[in-house]
Amino acid sequence: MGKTILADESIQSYITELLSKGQWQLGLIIGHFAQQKDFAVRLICSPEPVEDEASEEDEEPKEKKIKTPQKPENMADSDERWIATHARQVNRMLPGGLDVLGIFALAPPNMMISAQTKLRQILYLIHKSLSKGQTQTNSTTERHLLQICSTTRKITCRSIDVADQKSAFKPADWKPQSGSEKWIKLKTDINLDLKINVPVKQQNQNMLKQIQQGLVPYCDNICNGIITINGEVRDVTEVLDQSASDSKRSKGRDKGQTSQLIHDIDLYTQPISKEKREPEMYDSVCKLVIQGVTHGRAFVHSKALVSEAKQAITTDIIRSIHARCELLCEDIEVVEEEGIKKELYDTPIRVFGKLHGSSLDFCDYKFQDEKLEEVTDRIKELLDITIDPDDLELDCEQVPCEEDWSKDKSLDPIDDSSNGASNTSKFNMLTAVGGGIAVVAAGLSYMLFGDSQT
Amino acid sequence: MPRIIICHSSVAKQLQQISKDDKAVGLLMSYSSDDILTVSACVRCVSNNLSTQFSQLLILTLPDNLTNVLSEDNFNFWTADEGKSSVTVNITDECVVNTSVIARNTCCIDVTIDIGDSEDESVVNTCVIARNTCCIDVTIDIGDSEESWKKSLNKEIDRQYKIIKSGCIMYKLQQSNVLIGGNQSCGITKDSKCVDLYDLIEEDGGIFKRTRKKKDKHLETLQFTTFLKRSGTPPDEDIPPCAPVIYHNIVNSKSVDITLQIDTISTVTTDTTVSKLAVAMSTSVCRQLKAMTNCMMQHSKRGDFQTPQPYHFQPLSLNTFLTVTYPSKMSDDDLVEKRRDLHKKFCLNDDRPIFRRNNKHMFLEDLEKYGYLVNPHAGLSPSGVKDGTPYIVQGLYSYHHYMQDRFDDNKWGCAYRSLQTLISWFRLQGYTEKPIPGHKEIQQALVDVGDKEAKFVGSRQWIGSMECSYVLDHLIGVTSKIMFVSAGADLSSKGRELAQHFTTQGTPIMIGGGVLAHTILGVDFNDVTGDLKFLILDPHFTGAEELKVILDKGWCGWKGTDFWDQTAHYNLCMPQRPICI
Repeated sequence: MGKTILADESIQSYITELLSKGQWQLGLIIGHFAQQKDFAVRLICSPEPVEDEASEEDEEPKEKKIKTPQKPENMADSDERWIATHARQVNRMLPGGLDVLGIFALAPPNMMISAQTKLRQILYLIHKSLSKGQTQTNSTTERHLLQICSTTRKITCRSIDVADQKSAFKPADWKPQSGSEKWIKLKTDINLDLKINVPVKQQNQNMLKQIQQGLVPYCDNICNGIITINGEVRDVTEVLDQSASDSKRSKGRDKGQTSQLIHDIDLYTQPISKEKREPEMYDSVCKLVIQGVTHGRAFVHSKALVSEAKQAITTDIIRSIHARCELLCEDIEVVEEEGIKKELYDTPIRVFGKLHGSSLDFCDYKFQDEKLEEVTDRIKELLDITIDPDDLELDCEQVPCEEDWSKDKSLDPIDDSSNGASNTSKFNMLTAVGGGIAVVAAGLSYMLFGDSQT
Repeated sequence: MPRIIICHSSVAKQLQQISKDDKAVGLLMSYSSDDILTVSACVRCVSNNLSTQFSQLLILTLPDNLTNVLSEDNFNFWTADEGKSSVTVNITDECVVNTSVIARNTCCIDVTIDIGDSEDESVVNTCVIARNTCCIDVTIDIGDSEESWKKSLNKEIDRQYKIIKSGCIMYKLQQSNVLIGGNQSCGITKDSKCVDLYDLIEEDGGIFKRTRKKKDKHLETLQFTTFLKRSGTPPDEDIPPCAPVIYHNIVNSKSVDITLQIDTISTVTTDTTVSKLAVAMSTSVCRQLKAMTNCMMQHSKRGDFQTPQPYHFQPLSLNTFLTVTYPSKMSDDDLVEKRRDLHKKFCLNDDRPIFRRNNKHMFLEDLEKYGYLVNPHAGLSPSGVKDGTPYIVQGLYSYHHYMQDRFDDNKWGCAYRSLQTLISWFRLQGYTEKPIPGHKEIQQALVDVGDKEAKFVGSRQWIGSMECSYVLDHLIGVTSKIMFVSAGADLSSKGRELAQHFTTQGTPIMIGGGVLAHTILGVDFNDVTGDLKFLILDPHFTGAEELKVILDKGWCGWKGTDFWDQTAHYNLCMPQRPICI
């Protein structure tokens, strides 16, 4: 028997809503991979490529070359790259523990049958797109396809191993639940102090690739680290929440059902990236320093093991660092102007919102000059969630200010004397410019452009 | 300020020795706890000029809280420990050690030094030994001159210092859920005593652990791994507390990545709190980083970088561990001058290797990983010779016997194996870095010296004591005395001679007679009654490396004079230590 997927009760009403629209739909399943059963918490329809982005296209001439004008008549004609890009963007907005579990398709029987190859393609491309340039923390490569027949309203679910090109769909058990899972929240604040020397062989890569490469040892390091939960080192095989077994002895916790369990996580890593090695000399063309504090947040189900908690929080840290760097690089379109040798960029700050009807959060990244409305618009666009700007949690990370930038004592890890000019020249402060839907569009074009290169 | 000063008898002896010279200046090293100062070693300044630089240099070889004490003349000392308290030792011609303690250089209090008379009281046995390993990656900008990389190295090491002292470093006790740091700890309260840590180690049921008695537990080293806290307050105030910022600097440069393999030991008394232990370990790491920096500055060149490697030594005449850092690409031969200097500083005799790489101290965990059993006789009960004095092999050897190394030499290779044990002793005592030779190499050596014909190589022919002495000479440059015993019965009269050998040479002896070869590791001898027993290591054992079996079945054990074939002729190969350092 295949895997069981427990579906949150809110999903059923969403499906009903979609059915009432009378159109075919494609979208993502968001949820939590667990060792025994997976949890589906939400379906998100992939946004339709709409014409009103035309105004933004002036800035992005490449956009015009991509032929995704409007929703095609047939599901089989939809662009898998569009969905994969959507998955990548949604993935950035998920805290640790939440993932794109797979996709759903809602269509009449004939259309569904003809779209089978396409759906399979989409699942594989999503996997490829999500794993690009990032350290993989997920152990499972099983993804789900939920098919909803718009005629019979029948729901079928199947799974496929996206790491194996030859894998075939296996039946999976989609189980709608009454009520929601009680999620355990994990939180931490990670300080970053990364120094990356970009070796000569990478000089033709763009800045994002250079950063991604430089992050590899750091991410490995994070994955091999240890965590403490509320200050305790715990065996990874233990159940995270010990109160369940405690309550057998002392009842009284039941009253507190409404309050969510929140654990403070601390992360410790060994100061090494690789094992023993000989001194290695190399020439580098560029130095990157990433410094700051990032807020990490993850969710696990109520019966999760310590190991699952560790995986969720480390996934979040790695995902968040990558997301920031991607967003930044997509946004600034690094132009290496003559004369400008040093630049300073601030990455967007992480903001959170509540996924209503559950104890889960989603997140987004807000550039300094973005308006809150732009953030809420993006959330609506990408996650299909309507949120009031006042409900956004904005204070988990500090916005870089003048003072932080001026801490440039350590910015220049090279020998000061070797480069006289560098002593005096200040970093150029380039504040990245972001703009609501423009970011969506820019991101998309970036992705597609990147794919065509490979 | 310490009120009691304990001076180890070995140090007192050294001080007395030194006092015979005209004038000597040096340092006393001591472990200090709140009210006891244990002087465990003395160091002599080579130049008779005492300088802070010298004490700085020295401090790098010492574990953590071993504070050194500086002297003005004739071993008058003051502590380098921020001048909190000072000890003055005057050594007179009558070899009486007088001391006074000076607090902040203002007043003098007379203190009697207790000279510990029992050998068992060595610091190594009464302290908790914490060993911490970690690898620190450093990236250095090479720049365009020798100065520039040195400057960059210093800058990088300073950064590491800052991190280590920041309180973001935690030490994880291996096989436990305990993390200790200077300000906080997990899995144990920070005021707990170090000795409590032993109870928190989860036994993994290894063969060595099961056979160990509970009360001996404190002899184990506490093994730690270093972890850096990535969450919470940044270790470095230069890191902005805001969302990450990226500095992008387009500049051509040449860099080198070097992995510093930190391996420190810290010795503290059993009642020290774990947070103090953590501080001591941080101090050790910082000292080692400094020592490594010095080593690199001295031996690395632009374009040729050497990795500094730390080695721990525990010279028998000192009651402390010393850690010396050697550059990876220099051989022991290249480093002889450095060793000579160390010998002189620590007032050690120049007759045997003490600071060669192979002299490195074998901690229990190293022995477990060694592959061969080391000193299996250590677990034996006394021989039972009435009023006998045991004379035993000095130092370490490994047990070599039939069927090891996936090589079937059953029924013919016993002398080869005994020879391997002899060579292992020279290896473990630092005399040679050559690997232990296999049967073929031994045979080839005999062909090379002209003792055997070429067809001997690859054969299954026996060898005897003479051949062993040739091989020792040819392969590792060790000469041997050969003792001829015309009948096994006569061995019972050789007690005195053998005792003499183990006292002066201390090397294992290979004995061949009839068709058998054995290794003699010692004798228990009563020179009044002439009663004698032999400590025998038997190379004919064909089983696995199980200490219990080997001891229970007598493969390593005390044998009476009847052990020998009373009528057979015996030859003993008695290797002589070369004089070298």
